[in-house]
Amino acid sequence: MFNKILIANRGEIAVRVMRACREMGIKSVAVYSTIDRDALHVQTANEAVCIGEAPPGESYLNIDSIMDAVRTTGAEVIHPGYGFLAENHLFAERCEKDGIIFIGPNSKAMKLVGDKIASRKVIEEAGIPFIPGMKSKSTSVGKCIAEAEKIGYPVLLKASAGGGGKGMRIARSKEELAPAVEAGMRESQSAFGDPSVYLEKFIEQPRHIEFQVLADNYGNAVHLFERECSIQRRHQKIIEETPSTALNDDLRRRMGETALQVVKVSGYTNAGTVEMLLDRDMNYYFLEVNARLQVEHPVTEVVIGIDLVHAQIRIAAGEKMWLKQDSIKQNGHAIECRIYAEDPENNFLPSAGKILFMKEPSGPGIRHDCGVYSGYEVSVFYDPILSKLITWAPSREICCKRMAAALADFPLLGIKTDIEFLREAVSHPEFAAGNTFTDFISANMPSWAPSADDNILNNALIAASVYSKYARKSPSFSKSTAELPTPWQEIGDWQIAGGSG
Amino acid sequence: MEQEFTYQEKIHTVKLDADNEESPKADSFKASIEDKQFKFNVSRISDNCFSIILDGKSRIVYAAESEDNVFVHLDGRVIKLAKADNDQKKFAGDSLAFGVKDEISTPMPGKVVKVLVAEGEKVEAGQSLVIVESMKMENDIKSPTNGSVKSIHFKAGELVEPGQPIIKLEPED
Repeated sequence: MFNKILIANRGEIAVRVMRACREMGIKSVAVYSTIDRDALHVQTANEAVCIGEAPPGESYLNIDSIMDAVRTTGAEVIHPGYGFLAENHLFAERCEKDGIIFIGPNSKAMKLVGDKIASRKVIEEAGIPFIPGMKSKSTSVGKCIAEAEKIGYPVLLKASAGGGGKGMRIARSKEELAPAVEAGMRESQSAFGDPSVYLEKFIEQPRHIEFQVLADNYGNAVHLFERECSIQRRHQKIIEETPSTALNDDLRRRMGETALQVVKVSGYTNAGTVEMLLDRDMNYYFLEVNARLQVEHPVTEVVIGIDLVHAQIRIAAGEKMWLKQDSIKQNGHAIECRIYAEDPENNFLPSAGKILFMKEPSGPGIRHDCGVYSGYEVSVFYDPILSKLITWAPSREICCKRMAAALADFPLLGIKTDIEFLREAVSHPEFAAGNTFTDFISANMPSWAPSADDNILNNALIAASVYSKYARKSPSFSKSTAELPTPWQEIGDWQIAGGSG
Repeated sequence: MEQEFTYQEKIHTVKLDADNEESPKADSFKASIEDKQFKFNVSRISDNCFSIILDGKSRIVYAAESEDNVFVHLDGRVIKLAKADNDQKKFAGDSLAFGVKDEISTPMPGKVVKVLVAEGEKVEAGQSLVIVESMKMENDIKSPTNGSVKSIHFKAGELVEPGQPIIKLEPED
């Protein structure tokens, strides 16, 4: 087994991977940018190396700097997490060239499935159903407009080099398309270092169903069933669950077989996800392969009972597939809510600042993959995901209630988050009914604002005055040092001796 | 002890006094807000955590403060109260999409991606003025009013600090 793994990422996913390393007796190395010195992943690792300045291009996307850190620490393996370099086939190739093991798919399969256009060609040849779209990526607005005419509006613009909703926009007409392409290219360049975009037909009110797959390096693969990821804002998922209320056993079996077929024809290895769209008539279409461990992997872990990061590490170490498809079963129900530093009252725009106080929810069936802590300063440079809250229960009904209770029990003060919004979403009758489509938020909770009745306000005012009263009493109480006068301020006007001549 | 807090632009006054009834391991208080009276006891669990029993209802309350605000968490809700000596500042909210009538700025650091208007240009309420990037997401800042662009202070590629006016408008009367 490996001796030391360098995690080329940050935040909650880096912490989660380090946990797996610790459990497997493997040392972990954190890399961090100058602004991330106080980040939780730096504190969690066994060793830590600073790799550059705050902007991702200078640190977390800086391949040379990361490979230097690999050399100085003697790590023989890299885990890329999600985002950043996780789906960068040049990075995977560099690892292969330098004799460093990359925990993820082989670079050839990664390159193929990462090129959304090229992979669709392979899928088409294998007879797997897919969504009509552009046959090649582009950085030209004119080309996109021409292709959109062929595909037919509405179209969906996506970044070719990565996911996470970055660069994604819907355009319903030619007038909407040009600015959408420009903005999408800029976001894609910023997030992945590659501005290429492509278009596909936009399917109205689809359900987004994805299958988790695991493949060893010898051609053996299993799927670990589906995740339903339909609740999204800005084309980014915020609530995921498994099993999906949309599937019956037969559809599930067929989609699972399709997922394995995709793995086979693409030569994919290690952990990945086959994304599909389900339309209102229960037809499914291959969308793309996500060649990485995904944000929402925990819901699969708690329902199937398998640690996916452990599995990734074992496969990367050359172990032959030890799981049998027949013995993989779904048990109970799981929901994940993504906790973001965002303001749901204002179009989910990012909210930076200091977390003055937070307390993580806990209890039976509650898992919290967290990347932040009380006192931590959330910056503007990186994805605003703070943590993931996952609940498991024997039934979906209890799972929803458990999630709502956990979200209510999660104080996070100082910055805006989507915690209250999420609680209302999982408590919404449409969610309870399982009517989760990608337009769930705009259809059921447009222009959401927290409900503030007088009762809550009065109790909050009482609490605030009680807090302030106790705060004044105790001199060691945490207060911003800016409020205490310093000797320099008390002296009065002063200047450097000698004058300015 | 009297304290003032501002919530959604309205000032609320809380009068808090010790209640002389004894209660083991807890402090008893009386409070009045406008014309309502409350009696409750408080057990301080930590700097940021209190147990409050009011009218038999037991709650755990979390609170923390910054220079300008006190944040409270109770019943699954976060309420942000501005401290009394905080004048009605430039920031009416926490989003990027606001501005005082004539000054467009952002409440957090970001980078100007594209300025969509020119000096002297007439603008309408809701019209996009500038695109600013924060946390890898681009945000369209729209004009809060009809009027015209008085001056532009930043160009594409420049970094902006919170509160720095990016564009100044001349609102229509």
